[in-house]
Amino acid sequence: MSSREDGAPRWCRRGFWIGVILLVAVQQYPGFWDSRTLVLDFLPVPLCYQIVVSLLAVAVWWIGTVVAWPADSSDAEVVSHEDVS
Amino acid sequence: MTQLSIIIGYLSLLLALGVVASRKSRGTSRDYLLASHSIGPVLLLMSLFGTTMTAFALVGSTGKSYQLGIGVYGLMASSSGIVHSLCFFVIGVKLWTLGQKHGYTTQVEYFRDRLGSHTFGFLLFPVLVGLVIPYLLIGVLGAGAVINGVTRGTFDEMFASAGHGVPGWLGSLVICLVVLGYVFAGGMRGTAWANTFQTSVFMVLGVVTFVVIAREIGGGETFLESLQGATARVLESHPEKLVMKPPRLFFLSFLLIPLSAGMFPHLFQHWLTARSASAFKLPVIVHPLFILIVWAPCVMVGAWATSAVIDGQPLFTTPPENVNTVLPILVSRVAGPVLSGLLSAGILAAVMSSLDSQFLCLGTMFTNDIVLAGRTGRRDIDDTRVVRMARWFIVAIVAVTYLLSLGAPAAIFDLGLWCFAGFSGLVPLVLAALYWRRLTLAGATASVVAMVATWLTLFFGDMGGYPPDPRYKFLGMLPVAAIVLVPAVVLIVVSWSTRPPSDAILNKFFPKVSGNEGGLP
Repeated sequence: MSSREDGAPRWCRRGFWIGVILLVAVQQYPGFWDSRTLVLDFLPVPLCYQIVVSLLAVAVWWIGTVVAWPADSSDAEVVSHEDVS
Repeated sequence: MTQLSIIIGYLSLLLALGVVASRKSRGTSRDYLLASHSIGPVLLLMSLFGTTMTAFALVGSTGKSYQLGIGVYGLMASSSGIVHSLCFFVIGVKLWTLGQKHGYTTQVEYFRDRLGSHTFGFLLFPVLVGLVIPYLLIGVLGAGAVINGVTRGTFDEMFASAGHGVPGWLGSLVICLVVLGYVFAGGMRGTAWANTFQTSVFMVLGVVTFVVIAREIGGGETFLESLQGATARVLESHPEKLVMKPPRLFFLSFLLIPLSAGMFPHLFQHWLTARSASAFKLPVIVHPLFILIVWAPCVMVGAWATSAVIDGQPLFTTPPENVNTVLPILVSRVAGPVLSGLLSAGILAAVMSSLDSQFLCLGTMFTNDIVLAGRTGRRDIDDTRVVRMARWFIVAIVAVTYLLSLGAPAAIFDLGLWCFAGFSGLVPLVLAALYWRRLTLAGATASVVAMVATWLTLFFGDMGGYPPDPRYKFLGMLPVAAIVLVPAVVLIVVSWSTRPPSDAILNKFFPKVSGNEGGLP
């Protein structure tokens, strides 16, 4: 585990988890559910909105792996991977 | 016949892959069950994704979108993109770390150690196996429906009751045998390889399927015009399929369904195959994107199928009795025989990439949690015998599942909701075990019993039944809300009311370390 991840400030980690909660809130937002508009004349807006949510999730989880990766997982990486059976 | 030949060729290829993987084996049960913890980020990503995407994702999502419209994506796909990665992040990495430190192979081993009770394993084991069986059923039913859908009309005189195609029962049987074949030969290594191969196959062929179907249904000179044409037909005859109408609480409760990934036994085993904790980063990030690539086209295709006209005739004059067949029938109608065979192989790839992990996991659980449980001298037991016992248990469970599949066909989507709800109901237990020092054996036991009681009450009560009735709701939500909430409350109340765990257990699982100790803030 890099020192950068170990040293991520607490506010960064908290910010990330707030971001996860916001992501869930955005996913639940019903504002576009009834829209009959078509994006590019083929993609319904409610589906387009949820697709954008999926892309946002990629960004949020990427940030999480940078600022909030659990440090104690690094301890086990040095354990031998030899067969134990 | 061309489609059938391609499917047979594809299945043969998988068996060959299992044989090659078996030659790489180190000959130990550790290698057979966990690939000696040698799986890197890319293989882990592909195998985790392939394992979580089953007939539910392709066949089920298309069929459900045909019934309900594009809202299915918001119900299951975007929520899964958030919650699955959350499970990998918060539960997977932590369990991998503990598995490496203490040598766990199954969930039951971890819980026995964490709770200091050997007996607890005998409570959890049948619950997990009982929930895996309907999950297996999803794949077995899906495989049969796909093979029947694309081979209809292949035989002139045989199988009239199955539309002169390969009957569902036969297709399901063949798929079970093929998956058993390569799992037996290659173990976890073969499964991971097959998953990676099959995930690539179904993602690539899934995109091809989408393009072909769009062109055939939508017409138009460019691809964009095809997409516009296909959607325009739906807008004209079934506009309600292009909007979302779920009640708010009902929609919210769907967030709890993908939480089930946190307690899938086969995912636990895949997590343990990781070479390092860092190998999880790629799956955590990319999983939502892969879900998008698979689900969005399926959901669009399902909506298009409601209004599709092919060769001047509506695709369905009356809604199909079994919505699981919407995608395979569509594929067989719009693609030529070669492409149709390839596309069907892609759908089967998605189905089998889940079945294989589940088969292997069941064998692992039986040998480790029941046969070897309590034996301190595991090294004295012949490894070959361990693997053989695992295989026999797998055969027994697959036989039971197959026999169940011969009964009344259930809609895959609805069957999945019940199965996943049970696993979600166990997630409060694993979260408490990982992050709450105060969890006690009594609290854990009461929580599992409460989950089972709630599940059975709702399933066999007025709200469910078999096949599950999709119209029911519990306080405006899916039953999963109660199946998660009741065990969580019981766990907290009983744990607080009983003696705290011993210092030995707490020191083992909650050592004092500095810095960021876990996935939660």
